[in-house]
Amino acid sequence: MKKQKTILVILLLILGQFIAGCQQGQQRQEATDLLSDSFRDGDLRLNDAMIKEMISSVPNPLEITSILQRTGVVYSQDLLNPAGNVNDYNTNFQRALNLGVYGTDLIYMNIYERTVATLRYLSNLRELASDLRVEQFFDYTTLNRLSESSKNVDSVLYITNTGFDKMSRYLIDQERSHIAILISAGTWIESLYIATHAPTTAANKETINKRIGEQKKVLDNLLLLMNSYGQNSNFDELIKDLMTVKKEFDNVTITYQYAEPSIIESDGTLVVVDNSRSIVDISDETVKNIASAIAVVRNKVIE
Amino acid sequence: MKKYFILFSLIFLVLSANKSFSQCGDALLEICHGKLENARFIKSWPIQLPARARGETLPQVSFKLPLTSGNTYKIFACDASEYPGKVIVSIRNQNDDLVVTSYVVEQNRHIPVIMFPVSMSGIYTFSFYFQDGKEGCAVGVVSVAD
Repeated sequence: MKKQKTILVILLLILGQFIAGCQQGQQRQEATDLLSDSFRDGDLRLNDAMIKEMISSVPNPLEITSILQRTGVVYSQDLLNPAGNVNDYNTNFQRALNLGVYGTDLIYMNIYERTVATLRYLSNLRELASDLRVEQFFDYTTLNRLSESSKNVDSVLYITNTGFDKMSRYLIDQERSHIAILISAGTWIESLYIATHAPTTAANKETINKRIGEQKKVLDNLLLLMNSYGQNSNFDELIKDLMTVKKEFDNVTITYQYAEPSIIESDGTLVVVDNSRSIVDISDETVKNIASAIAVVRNKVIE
Repeated sequence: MKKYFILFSLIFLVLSANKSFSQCGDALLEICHGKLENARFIKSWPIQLPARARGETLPQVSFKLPLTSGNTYKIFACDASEYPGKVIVSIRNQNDDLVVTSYVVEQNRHIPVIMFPVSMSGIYTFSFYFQDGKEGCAVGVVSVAD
Protein backbone atom coordinates (compact mmCIF):
# COMPACT_ATOMS: atom_id res chain seq x y z
CA MET A 1 0.00 0.00 0.00
CA LYS A 2 2.83 2.34 0.98
CA LYS A 3 4.67 1.44 -2.24
CA GLN A 4 1.59 2.27 -4.34
CA LYS A 5 1.28 5.64 -2.62
CA THR A 6 4.91 6.44 -3.43
CA ILE A 7 4.40 5.54 -7.10
CA LEU A 8 1.27 7.71 -7.17
CA VAL A 9 3.16 10.68 -5.73
CA ILE A 10 5.95 10.27 -8.31
CA LEU A 11 3.41 10.07 -11.15
CA LEU A 12 1.63 13.18 -9.90
CA LEU A 13 4.93 15.06 -9.73
CA ILE A 14 5.78 14.06 -13.31
CA LEU A 15 2.30 15.10 -14.45
CA GLY A 16 2.68 18.44 -12.65
CA GLN A 17 6.01 19.09 -14.37
CA PHE A 18 4.46 18.17 -17.72
CA ILE A 19 1.51 20.54 -17.25
CA ALA A 20 3.84 23.35 -16.08
CA GLY A 21 6.01 22.78 -19.15
CA CYS A 22 2.97 22.97 -21.44
CA GLN A 23 1.76 26.19 -19.84
CA GLN A 24 5.19 27.78 -20.12
CA GLY A 25 5.26 26.83 -23.78
CA GLN A 26 1.84 28.43 -24.37
CA GLN A 27 2.96 31.77 -22.93
CA ARG A 28 5.49 32.21 -25.75
CA GLN A 29 4.23 32.59 -29.25
CA GLU A 30 5.25 30.29 -32.04
CA ALA A 31 7.71 31.84 -34.47
CA THR A 32 5.93 33.79 -37.16
CA ASP A 33 8.72 33.31 -39.70
CA LEU A 34 10.01 30.17 -41.36
CA LEU A 35 13.65 31.03 -40.83
CA SER A 36 14.55 27.61 -39.43
CA ASP A 37 13.75 25.92 -42.71
CA SER A 38 14.64 28.63 -45.17
CA PHE A 39 18.18 27.72 -46.09
CA ARG A 40 18.38 23.96 -46.30
CA ASP A 41 18.86 23.51 -50.02
CA GLY A 42 19.78 25.33 -53.13
CA ASP A 43 20.97 28.62 -51.64
CA LEU A 44 24.44 29.79 -52.45
CA ARG A 45 26.30 29.99 -49.18
CA LEU A 46 29.67 29.41 -47.52
CA ASN A 47 30.24 25.81 -46.55
CA ASP A 48 30.00 24.84 -42.88
CA ALA A 49 33.77 24.48 -42.45
CA MET A 50 34.28 28.04 -43.71
CA ILE A 51 31.48 29.34 -41.49
CA LYS A 52 32.99 27.57 -38.47
CA GLU A 53 36.33 29.16 -39.20
CA MET A 54 34.92 32.63 -39.87
CA ILE A 55 32.23 32.88 -37.22
CA SER A 56 34.86 33.00 -34.49
CA SER A 57 36.29 36.10 -36.18
CA VAL A 58 33.41 37.98 -34.56
CA PRO A 59 34.90 38.97 -31.19
CA ASN A 60 33.51 37.84 -27.89
CA PRO A 61 31.76 40.79 -26.16
CA LEU A 62 34.04 40.18 -23.19
CA GLU A 63 36.96 41.62 -25.18
CA ILE A 64 35.61 45.13 -25.63
CA THR A 65 33.73 45.27 -22.32
CA SER A 66 36.91 44.20 -20.45
CA ILE A 67 38.77 47.10 -22.06
CA LEU A 68 35.95 49.52 -21.16
CA GLN A 69 36.07 48.39 -17.54
CA ARG A 70 39.87 48.35 -17.30
CA THR A 71 40.22 51.85 -18.75
CA GLY A 72 37.78 53.27 -16.20
CA VAL A 73 34.69 53.73 -18.38
CA VAL A 74 31.70 54.04 -16.06
CA TYR A 75 28.92 51.39 -16.19
CA SER A 76 25.62 52.56 -17.64
CA GLN A 77 22.42 50.54 -17.23
CA ASP A 78 20.71 52.79 -19.80
CA LEU A 79 22.80 51.23 -22.57
CA LEU A 80 21.15 47.83 -22.18
CA ASN A 81 18.26 46.46 -24.17
CA PRO A 82 15.33 46.72 -21.69
CA ALA A 83 14.58 43.26 -20.30
CA GLY A 84 10.83 43.65 -21.00
CA ASN A 85 11.41 43.80 -24.76
CA VAL A 86 11.78 40.02 -24.88
CA ASN A 87 8.02 39.54 -25.30
CA ASP A 88 8.09 41.44 -28.59
CA TYR A 89 10.37 39.00 -30.38
CA ASN A 90 8.07 36.70 -32.31
CA THR A 91 10.23 35.60 -35.21
CA ASN A 92 13.29 33.37 -35.13
CA PHE A 93 15.16 36.17 -36.90
CA GLN A 94 14.44 38.60 -34.03
CA ARG A 95 15.01 35.94 -31.40
CA ALA A 96 18.43 34.93 -32.74
CA LEU A 97 19.62 38.54 -33.02
CA ASN A 98 18.36 39.43 -29.56
CA LEU A 99 19.83 36.29 -28.01
CA GLY A 100 23.14 37.82 -29.07
CA VAL A 101 22.08 41.25 -27.77
CA TYR A 102 20.99 39.98 -24.34
CA GLY A 103 24.06 37.73 -24.13
CA THR A 104 26.27 40.79 -24.65
CA ASP A 105 24.32 42.77 -22.03
CA LEU A 106 24.77 39.90 -19.61
CA ILE A 107 28.52 39.84 -20.14
CA TYR A 108 28.70 43.65 -19.82
CA MET A 109 26.80 43.51 -16.51
CA ASN A 110 29.01 40.71 -15.20
CA ILE A 111 32.26 42.44 -16.16
CA TYR A 112 31.05 45.38 -14.04
CA GLU A 113 29.94 42.96 -11.29
CA ARG A 114 26.26 43.94 -11.55
CA THR A 115 25.43 40.29 -10.99
CA VAL A 116 22.11 40.64 -9.15
CA ALA A 117 20.68 42.72 -11.99
CA THR A 118 21.48 39.90 -14.41
CA LEU A 119 18.66 37.61 -13.23
CA ARG A 120 16.03 39.00 -15.63
CA TYR A 121 18.50 38.90 -18.47
CA LEU A 122 19.29 35.27 -17.68
CA SER A 123 15.59 34.54 -17.84
CA ASN A 124 15.42 36.27 -21.25
CA LEU A 125 18.36 34.25 -22.46
CA ARG A 126 16.55 31.10 -21.39
CA GLU A 127 13.32 32.08 -23.17
CA LEU A 128 14.98 33.00 -26.43
CA ALA A 129 17.29 29.96 -26.38
CA SER A 130 14.29 27.75 -25.67
CA ASP A 131 12.34 29.28 -28.58
CA LEU A 132 15.30 28.56 -30.82
CA ARG A 133 15.64 25.02 -29.38
CA VAL A 134 19.14 25.58 -28.02
CA GLU A 135 18.41 25.97 -24.30
CA GLN A 136 20.44 22.86 -23.43
CA PHE A 137 23.69 24.82 -23.60
CA PHE A 138 23.05 27.00 -20.56
CA ASP A 139 22.90 25.67 -17.02
CA TYR A 140 20.35 28.21 -15.71
CA THR A 141 20.05 26.72 -12.24
CA THR A 142 23.77 27.13 -11.63
CA LEU A 143 23.84 30.54 -13.35
CA ASN A 144 20.99 31.82 -11.17
CA ARG A 145 22.69 30.56 -8.03
CA LEU A 146 26.09 32.00 -8.97
CA SER A 147 24.58 35.34 -9.96
CA GLU A 148 23.58 35.97 -6.36
CA SER A 149 27.14 37.03 -5.55
CA SER A 150 29.63 39.24 -7.39
CA LYS A 151 32.39 36.88 -6.21
CA ASN A 152 31.28 34.37 -8.83
CA VAL A 153 31.70 36.60 -11.88
CA ASP A 154 34.43 34.47 -13.45
CA SER A 155 32.33 31.30 -13.11
CA VAL A 156 29.25 33.04 -14.56
CA LEU A 157 31.31 34.31 -17.50
CA TYR A 158 32.78 30.84 -18.01
CA ILE A 159 29.36 29.15 -18.11
CA THR A 160 27.87 31.88 -20.33
CA ASN A 161 30.75 31.92 -22.79
CA THR A 162 31.14 28.15 -23.04
CA GLY A 163 27.35 27.97 -23.54
CA PHE A 164 27.46 30.39 -26.48
CA ASP A 165 30.52 28.60 -27.85
CA LYS A 166 28.92 25.14 -27.79
CA MET A 167 25.62 26.50 -29.08
CA SER A 168 27.30 28.06 -32.10
CA ARG A 169 29.11 24.83 -32.99
CA TYR A 170 25.89 22.85 -32.53
CA LEU A 171 23.89 25.17 -34.77
CA ILE A 172 26.45 24.90 -37.56
CA ASP A 173 26.58 21.10 -37.22
CA GLN A 174 22.77 21.00 -37.36
CA GLU A 175 22.74 23.04 -40.62
CA ARG A 176 21.32 26.04 -38.80
CA SER A 177 24.34 28.26 -39.47
CA HIS A 178 22.07 31.22 -40.28
CA ILE A 179 20.87 31.23 -36.64
CA ALA A 180 24.50 31.08 -35.41
CA ILE A 181 25.42 33.99 -37.71
CA LEU A 182 22.47 36.08 -36.48
CA ILE A 183 23.42 35.46 -32.84
CA SER A 184 26.97 36.60 -33.65
CA ALA A 185 25.63 39.64 -35.50
CA GLY A 186 23.51 40.52 -32.46
CA THR A 187 26.51 40.29 -30.12
CA TRP A 188 28.63 42.45 -32.41
CA ILE A 189 25.95 45.11 -32.91
CA GLU A 190 25.33 45.38 -29.15
CA SER A 191 29.07 45.40 -28.32
CA LEU A 192 29.71 48.22 -30.78
CA TYR A 193 26.65 50.10 -29.52
CA ILE A 194 27.89 49.89 -25.93
CA ALA A 195 31.46 50.85 -26.90
CA THR A 196 30.32 53.88 -28.91
CA HIS A 197 27.79 55.10 -26.34
CA ALA A 198 29.62 54.40 -23.08
CA PRO A 199 30.65 57.64 -21.36
CA THR A 200 34.39 58.13 -21.97
CA THR A 201 36.77 60.63 -20.38
CA ALA A 202 39.80 62.45 -21.77
CA ALA A 203 42.01 59.75 -20.23
CA ASN A 204 40.41 56.74 -21.95
CA LYS A 205 38.79 58.23 -25.05
CA GLU A 206 41.72 57.60 -27.40
CA THR A 207 42.05 53.93 -26.39
CA ILE A 208 38.33 53.30 -26.77
CA ASN A 209 38.18 55.11 -30.12
CA LYS A 210 41.00 52.93 -31.46
CA ARG A 211 39.24 49.76 -30.36
CA ILE A 212 36.12 51.03 -32.12
CA GLY A 213 38.11 51.71 -35.30
CA GLU A 214 39.48 48.16 -35.26
CA GLN A 215 35.96 46.84 -35.66
CA LYS A 216 36.21 47.79 -39.34
CA LYS A 217 37.81 44.41 -40.17
CA VAL A 218 35.27 42.53 -38.05
CA LEU A 219 32.38 44.16 -39.89
CA ASP A 220 33.89 43.12 -43.22
CA ASN A 221 33.95 39.48 -42.05
CA LEU A 222 30.46 39.67 -40.61
CA LEU A 223 29.11 41.04 -43.87
CA LEU A 224 30.86 38.27 -45.78
CA LEU A 225 29.15 35.70 -43.55
CA MET A 226 25.77 37.39 -43.86
CA ASN A 227 25.98 37.90 -47.60
CA SER A 228 25.68 34.18 -48.16
CA TYR A 229 22.12 34.51 -46.83
CA GLY A 230 21.36 37.73 -48.69
CA GLN A 231 18.52 36.11 -50.64
CA ASN A 232 16.37 36.21 -47.52
CA SER A 233 14.54 39.54 -47.12
CA ASN A 234 15.29 39.84 -43.39
CA PHE A 235 18.99 39.21 -43.95
CA ASP A 236 18.96 41.53 -46.92
CA GLU A 237 17.54 44.39 -44.88
CA LEU A 238 20.04 43.86 -42.04
CA ILE A 239 22.91 43.79 -44.55
CA LYS A 240 21.68 47.08 -46.04
CA ASP A 241 21.54 48.61 -42.56
CA LEU A 242 25.03 47.38 -41.73
CA MET A 243 26.30 48.80 -44.99
CA THR A 244 25.48 52.28 -43.67
CA VAL A 245 27.77 51.51 -40.71
CA LYS A 246 30.43 50.20 -43.10
CA LYS A 247 30.25 53.48 -45.01
CA GLU A 248 31.32 55.29 -41.84
CA PHE A 249 34.07 52.74 -41.18
CA ASP A 250 35.48 53.51 -44.65
CA ASN A 251 36.90 56.68 -43.06
CA VAL A 252 39.03 54.60 -40.69
CA THR A 253 42.56 53.72 -41.76
CA ILE A 254 44.44 50.87 -40.13
CA THR A 255 48.11 50.30 -40.86
CA TYR A 256 50.23 47.48 -39.53
CA GLN A 257 53.88 47.58 -38.61
CA TYR A 258 55.14 44.06 -38.32
CA ALA A 259 58.23 43.25 -36.27
CA GLU A 260 59.50 39.83 -35.21
CA PRO A 261 58.14 38.93 -31.75
CA SER A 262 60.51 38.10 -28.90
CA ILE A 263 59.80 35.12 -26.67
CA ILE A 264 60.59 34.89 -22.97
CA GLU A 265 60.07 31.73 -20.94
CA SER A 266 59.44 31.79 -17.24
CA ASP A 267 58.13 29.00 -14.98
CA GLY A 268 56.90 26.91 -17.89
CA THR A 269 54.96 29.82 -19.37
CA LEU A 270 55.90 31.29 -22.71
CA VAL A 271 55.47 35.06 -22.83
CA VAL A 272 55.28 36.57 -26.29
CA VAL A 273 56.55 40.12 -26.55
CA ASP A 274 54.59 41.50 -29.47
CA ASN A 275 56.82 44.03 -31.21
CA SER A 276 54.27 44.65 -33.97
CA ARG A 277 51.92 47.58 -33.89
CA SER A 278 48.57 48.45 -35.43
CA ILE A 279 48.02 52.14 -36.01
CA VAL A 280 44.37 53.15 -36.15
CA ASP A 281 43.58 56.51 -37.67
CA ILE A 282 40.08 57.52 -36.62
CA SER A 283 38.74 61.03 -36.05
CA ASP A 284 36.28 62.06 -33.34
CA GLU A 285 33.79 62.87 -36.06
CA THR A 286 34.05 59.36 -37.52
CA VAL A 287 33.48 57.84 -34.06
CA LYS A 288 30.39 60.05 -33.71
CA ASN A 289 29.09 58.99 -37.11
CA ILE A 290 29.72 55.30 -36.37
CA ALA A 291 27.87 55.73 -33.06
CA SER A 292 24.86 57.26 -34.83
CA ALA A 293 24.83 54.63 -37.58
CA ILE A 294 25.09 51.65 -35.20
CA ALA A 295 22.40 53.14 -32.95
CA VAL A 296 19.95 53.14 -35.87
CA VAL A 297 20.73 49.48 -36.65
CA ARG A 298 20.66 48.41 -33.00
CA ASN A 299 17.39 50.16 -32.23
CA LYS A 300 15.80 48.46 -35.22
CA VAL A 301 17.08 45.10 -33.94
CA ILE A 302 15.73 45.52 -30.40
CA GLU A 303 12.42 47.24 -31.15
CA MET B 1 13.82 -7.58 -6.96
CA LYS B 2 17.44 -8.43 -6.10
CA LYS B 3 18.06 -9.27 -9.77
CA TYR B 4 16.82 -5.82 -10.82
CA PHE B 5 19.00 -4.17 -8.23
CA ILE B 6 22.12 -5.97 -9.52
CA LEU B 7 21.23 -5.17 -13.12
CA PHE B 8 20.64 -1.49 -12.27
CA SER B 9 23.95 -1.32 -10.37
CA LEU B 10 25.81 -2.84 -13.32
CA ILE B 11 24.27 -0.35 -15.79
CA PHE B 12 25.13 2.51 -13.43
CA LEU B 13 28.74 1.30 -13.09
CA VAL B 14 29.19 0.96 -16.86
CA LEU B 15 27.71 4.43 -17.49
CA SER B 16 29.75 6.14 -14.77
CA ALA B 17 32.95 4.38 -15.88
CA ASN B 18 32.34 5.61 -19.40
CA LYS B 19 31.93 9.16 -18.10
CA SER B 20 35.07 8.98 -15.96
CA PHE B 21 37.43 7.72 -18.60
CA SER B 22 36.12 9.25 -21.83
CA GLN B 23 37.77 12.67 -21.85
CA CYS B 24 37.44 13.60 -25.49
CA GLY B 25 34.90 16.37 -26.21
CA ASP B 26 33.18 18.69 -23.76
CA ALA B 27 34.30 16.62 -20.76
CA LEU B 28 37.88 17.54 -21.62
CA LEU B 29 37.06 21.24 -21.42
CA GLU B 30 35.66 20.75 -17.93
CA ILE B 31 38.93 19.09 -16.89
CA CYS B 32 41.05 21.69 -18.67
CA HIS B 33 39.25 24.81 -17.45
CA GLY B 34 41.08 24.65 -14.10
CA LYS B 35 44.12 25.99 -15.96
CA LEU B 36 42.28 29.28 -16.47
CA GLU B 37 43.00 30.42 -12.90
CA ASN B 38 42.29 34.19 -12.92
CA ALA B 39 41.86 34.47 -16.68
CA ARG B 40 38.44 34.84 -18.30
CA PHE B 41 37.41 32.25 -20.84
CA ILE B 42 36.54 33.50 -24.32
CA LYS B 43 36.88 30.58 -26.71
CA SER B 44 37.60 26.88 -26.92
CA TRP B 45 37.97 24.50 -29.82
CA PRO B 46 37.60 20.74 -29.55
CA ILE B 47 40.24 19.10 -31.71
CA GLN B 48 40.18 15.50 -32.84
CA LEU B 49 42.48 14.38 -35.61
CA PRO B 50 43.34 10.99 -37.08
CA ALA B 51 46.87 9.63 -37.32
CA ARG B 52 48.80 10.81 -40.36
CA ALA B 53 48.38 8.33 -43.17
CA ARG B 54 51.51 7.21 -45.05
CA GLY B 55 52.47 9.73 -47.71
CA GLU B 56 49.84 12.24 -46.52
CA THR B 57 50.43 15.70 -45.03
CA LEU B 58 50.16 16.26 -41.28
CA PRO B 59 46.47 16.50 -40.27
CA GLN B 60 45.78 19.87 -38.72
CA VAL B 61 42.90 22.20 -38.04
CA SER B 62 42.84 26.01 -37.98
CA PHE B 63 40.54 28.64 -36.53
CA LYS B 64 40.45 32.40 -36.77
CA LEU B 65 40.03 34.63 -33.75
CA PRO B 66 40.29 38.40 -33.40
CA LEU B 67 42.73 39.49 -30.70
CA THR B 68 42.55 43.02 -29.38
CA SER B 69 45.45 45.28 -28.62
CA GLY B 70 45.62 46.07 -24.90
CA ASN B 71 44.46 42.60 -23.83
CA THR B 72 46.81 39.88 -22.60
CA TYR B 73 45.69 36.46 -23.76
CA LYS B 74 46.35 33.24 -21.92
CA ILE B 75 46.40 30.38 -24.40
CA PHE B 76 46.67 26.71 -23.56
CA ALA B 77 45.58 23.26 -24.69
CA CYS B 78 44.90 19.96 -22.95
CA ASP B 79 45.27 16.46 -24.34
CA ALA B 80 42.85 13.60 -23.77
CA SER B 81 44.93 10.98 -21.99
CA GLU B 82 43.40 8.03 -23.86
CA TYR B 83 44.93 9.21 -27.14
CA PRO B 84 48.66 9.03 -27.98
CA GLY B 85 48.97 12.47 -29.65
CA LYS B 86 50.39 15.54 -27.88
CA VAL B 87 48.83 18.70 -29.23
CA ILE B 88 50.84 21.60 -30.61
CA VAL B 89 49.33 25.04 -31.15
CA SER B 90 50.81 27.66 -33.42
CA ILE B 91 49.57 31.21 -33.83
CA ARG B 92 49.93 33.32 -36.95
CA ASN B 93 49.01 36.97 -37.42
CA GLN B 94 46.91 38.25 -40.30
CA ASN B 95 50.00 38.57 -42.53
CA ASP B 96 50.54 34.84 -41.93
CA ASP B 97 53.72 35.49 -39.93
CA LEU B 98 54.32 32.89 -37.23
CA VAL B 99 54.01 34.56 -33.83
CA VAL B 100 54.53 31.62 -31.51
CA THR B 101 54.28 27.86 -31.22
CA SER B 102 53.84 25.73 -28.11
CA TYR B 103 56.53 23.22 -29.12
CA VAL B 104 60.28 23.88 -28.85
CA VAL B 105 61.74 21.64 -31.56
CA GLU B 106 65.39 21.89 -30.43
CA GLN B 107 64.51 20.70 -26.93
CA ASN B 108 61.62 18.41 -27.91
CA ARG B 109 59.54 20.20 -25.27
CA HIS B 110 55.91 21.29 -25.03
CA ILE B 111 55.08 24.62 -23.43
CA PRO B 112 51.87 24.31 -21.36
CA VAL B 113 50.81 27.98 -21.32
CA ILE B 114 51.38 30.92 -23.66
CA MET B 115 50.84 34.50 -22.47
CA PHE B 116 50.34 36.92 -25.33
CA PRO B 117 50.02 40.65 -24.59
CA VAL B 118 48.72 41.85 -27.96
CA SER B 119 49.81 45.17 -29.38
CA MET B 120 48.63 44.58 -32.95
CA SER B 121 44.88 44.03 -33.11
CA GLY B 122 43.78 41.73 -35.86
CA ILE B 123 42.45 38.35 -36.82
CA TYR B 124 44.91 35.64 -35.80
CA THR B 125 44.95 32.04 -36.97
CA PHE B 126 45.25 29.28 -34.38
CA SER B 127 46.43 25.98 -35.86
CA PHE B 128 46.40 22.71 -33.96
CA TYR B 129 48.12 19.44 -34.85
CA PHE B 130 49.56 16.47 -32.98
CA GLN B 131 53.26 15.77 -32.59
CA ASP B 132 54.60 13.27 -35.16
CA GLY B 133 51.14 13.09 -36.73
CA LYS B 134 49.78 10.75 -34.06
CA GLU B 135 46.06 10.35 -33.52
CA GLY B 136 44.89 12.76 -30.86
CA CYS B 137 42.11 14.54 -29.09
CA ALA B 138 42.53 17.88 -27.33
CA VAL B 139 40.87 21.13 -26.48
CA GLY B 140 42.43 24.53 -27.18
CA VAL B 141 41.45 27.42 -24.93
CA VAL B 142 41.87 31.19 -25.33
CA SER B 143 41.20 33.45 -22.36
CA VAL B 144 41.81 37.04 -21.34
CA ALA B 145 44.18 37.45 -18.40
CA ASP B 146 43.48 40.12 -15.78
